[in-house]
Amino acid sequence: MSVVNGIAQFFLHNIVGSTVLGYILMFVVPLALPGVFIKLVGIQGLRHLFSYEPKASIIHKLDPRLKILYPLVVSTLSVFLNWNYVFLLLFVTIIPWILLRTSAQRLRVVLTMVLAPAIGLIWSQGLFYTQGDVLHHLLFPFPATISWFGSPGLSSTGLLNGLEQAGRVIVAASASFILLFTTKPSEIIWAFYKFRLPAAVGLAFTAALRFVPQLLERLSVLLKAMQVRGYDLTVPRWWELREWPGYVGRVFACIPIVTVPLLIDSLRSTSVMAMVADARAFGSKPERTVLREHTLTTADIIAICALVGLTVLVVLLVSLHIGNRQM
Amino acid sequence: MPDLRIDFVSFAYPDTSEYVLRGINLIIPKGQFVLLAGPSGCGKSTLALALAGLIPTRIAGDMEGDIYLAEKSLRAMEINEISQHIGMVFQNPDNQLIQIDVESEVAFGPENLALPRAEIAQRVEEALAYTRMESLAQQEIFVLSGGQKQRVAISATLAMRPSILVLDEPTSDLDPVGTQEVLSVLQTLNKQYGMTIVLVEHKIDEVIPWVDRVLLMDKGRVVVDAPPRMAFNDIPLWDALGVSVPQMVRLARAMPNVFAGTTPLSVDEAYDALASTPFAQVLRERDAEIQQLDALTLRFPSTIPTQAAISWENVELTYGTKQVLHDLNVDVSPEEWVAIIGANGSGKTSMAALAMGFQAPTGGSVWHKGKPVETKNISRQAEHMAYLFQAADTMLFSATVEREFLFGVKNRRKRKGETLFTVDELLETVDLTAHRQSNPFHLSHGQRKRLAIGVLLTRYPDVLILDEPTTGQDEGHARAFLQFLEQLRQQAKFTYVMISHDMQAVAQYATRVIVLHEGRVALDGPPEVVFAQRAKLAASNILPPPIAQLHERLCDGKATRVALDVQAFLRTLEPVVEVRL
Repeated sequence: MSVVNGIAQFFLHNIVGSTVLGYILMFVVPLALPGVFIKLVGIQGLRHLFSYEPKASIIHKLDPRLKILYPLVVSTLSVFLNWNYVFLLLFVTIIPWILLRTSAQRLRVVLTMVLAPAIGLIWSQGLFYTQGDVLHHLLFPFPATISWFGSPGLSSTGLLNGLEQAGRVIVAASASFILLFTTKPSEIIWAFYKFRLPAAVGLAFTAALRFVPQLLERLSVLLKAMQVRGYDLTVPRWWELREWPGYVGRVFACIPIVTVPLLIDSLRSTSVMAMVADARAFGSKPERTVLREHTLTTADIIAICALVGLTVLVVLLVSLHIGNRQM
Repeated sequence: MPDLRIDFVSFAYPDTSEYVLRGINLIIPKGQFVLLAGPSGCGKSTLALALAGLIPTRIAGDMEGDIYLAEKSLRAMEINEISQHIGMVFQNPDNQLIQIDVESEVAFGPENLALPRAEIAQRVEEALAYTRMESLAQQEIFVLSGGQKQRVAISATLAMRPSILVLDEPTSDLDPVGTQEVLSVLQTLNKQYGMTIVLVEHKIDEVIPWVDRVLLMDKGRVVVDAPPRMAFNDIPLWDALGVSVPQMVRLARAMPNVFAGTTPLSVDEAYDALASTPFAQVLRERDAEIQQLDALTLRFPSTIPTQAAISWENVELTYGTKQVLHDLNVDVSPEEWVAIIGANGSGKTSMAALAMGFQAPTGGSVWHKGKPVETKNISRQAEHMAYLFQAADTMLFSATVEREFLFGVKNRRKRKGETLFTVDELLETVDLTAHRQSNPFHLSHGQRKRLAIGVLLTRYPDVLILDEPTTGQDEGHARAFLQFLEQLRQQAKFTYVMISHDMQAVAQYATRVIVLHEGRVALDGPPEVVFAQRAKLAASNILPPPIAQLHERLCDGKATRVALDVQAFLRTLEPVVEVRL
């Protein structure tokens, strides 16, 4: 017990120990997150993230308009709710995922994409949140040796605030990915048209959806080509600590190198796509007809009822001052 | 269906004084199948864009003259109006497909025209029937093969109901199977439905049997405008421009007595002319002699075992449930030029990727000179082995040619007792000394390819993996690049592993051919032996060069070795025929 106490004493009260702990707190999260991201998602994963996943699920068959509204409604609701209710809302947004039964591969990517920024948010708020009485809620005050960092230390109010914000981010992301995974571009164009939005907005959206996988494909070829030319992008093992700074440096240094060829290539292919869209008479008529019109099904009606019910519930909670936002 | 009239059209891209098209004057009657050929940069793609009305409406520049559809100038029409008369299909299918599934893609145009739903459905059905894609209507585009994607692009264009189709190298990104799919669709559209087709294409051997008219362009002008049988009257002109002449035409010109002034365009026609002549008999006799010789050499094998440059030992590769490579056992000896051929999905690229260490096999092992290939440490593996990507452009990142080399030099580690090339030596090797300070993107396609090879050599590899080194180049440039590679190989004693769909390149340069079929080695041997196996090649979706096909057929399918080019074919007949080369 005394050993544990001793270690705690060293890290919390000794100037050297607390400096070390301070540095760890500052840098572990920002350095580890990109690593975790590359390891768990990678370029291949990003391709999965922004692309339609063909499946015969009930979510796929829902009205595309509903799927566009869903992330908007849920995100808006999360803004008005207090944070503990936001996490209740998060449970609600898990229901479509259960119905979707997405592949494990995609699930891993989505979880990483959703949780990594959330963790980042909690960390940054924990260190940099300055409103209110932060100084009295410091879990670990930074010693004077790292005052240059501009943070008084890790505060409980900050962490809590980060957690609250993270809840909202996760809810919005979880709902948005449902739209991306289950809606075909043609359905999105149709829905935008039905919402009386300019068709070009729908096309831009779908072009982006088609474009991202191609962009990532090119990026993966470029990165391979760089390595063939001797640029070392081999990920070091986690214990090879001395290798990591060099690796991270090389990763950052390669960003400008790959950006230019990637941009040139992308611009070329978009110019062809633009010509094709023109040649297919896109935007030539104010009206547009469609081959496949979505007709409302029972599932749609149930889903609409669920969404309306959810909204009414939230409005009630907020107006009764039960779940409304405290800060 | 109206004619297309090109009336003294000249065109220059913005900020350049040089005209890409110079006073082009043509009439393309309805129902004609026109082949537009020419070396890179001759203006054929520009002419295609102008025919489709995309120049000058979408691509700005200085255009003189006019193009008329019936009596109406294309300039006076909106692009969506033009596209209902003239459809354009581009090279890369991925860039011209907007939707996720086939049906939505084809319906996109008619939907934009706000047609009634019944008509959209009818047009979609009809357009898919033209390209024989009906059964895949509900399929997602990204699961389709290259040939199928290009057929979807053609269907989507046809859904606008054009009567003229302009295609700019629609098969250059496709494998031989995809190429045949697309070309046969074009043939049907023209012969069965009477559609006018203007096709820009390098693969002249494949299309020449059924085109009506050949246009050869050079420096923005049409220099040959003739029916296919007359188009090659001036072979030296075609050779000087580096545009390929069909092998059967070359053969007929070298044997004027046999062909009596006629020009065969297909292997069938040449076969009909030669089958009943004594030449067929000579070929069969020669082959019998070769068989006897082979039997002798087999009795006294002279192979000395050497350490393989690369070996794949019991290699298996599986993605999920899909097995890509099955128990692959291949040894490549030093200084060989091995060509790996096969349809897309046969495992060629996977085989090369394993050698480079881009991924690890799921079973077995890959070796480089007795050492295991380091997977996932590509930069380390690159010290022994280089990989020339199909799009060499993706390998160039720097602002000047010199800096490209310095990038490689900076990232290399010197091994003991090794002298490395200096930048000057490398520039000399790839013949780019004069372009030291040029921007790589201002170089020509061939120069960029040479530069890509040059920068790979900074790592001092001994094995080079060449992924489709001739794709998208005209005959002249492709041959020049292969010749450069051959010199380099002899000079520096390199081993090449080449993935290629270009059978003439394989026939001419490879010392050994490996045919992959569904992840297994179907054939393995010198090209003259492999290309004699018509049945097995057909099963693997490979069509040998026309001259090899002819040789094999004239020997009644029993040839053990076939000629790989026209000269070799004529040499076999030498004492009998007076060769005119």
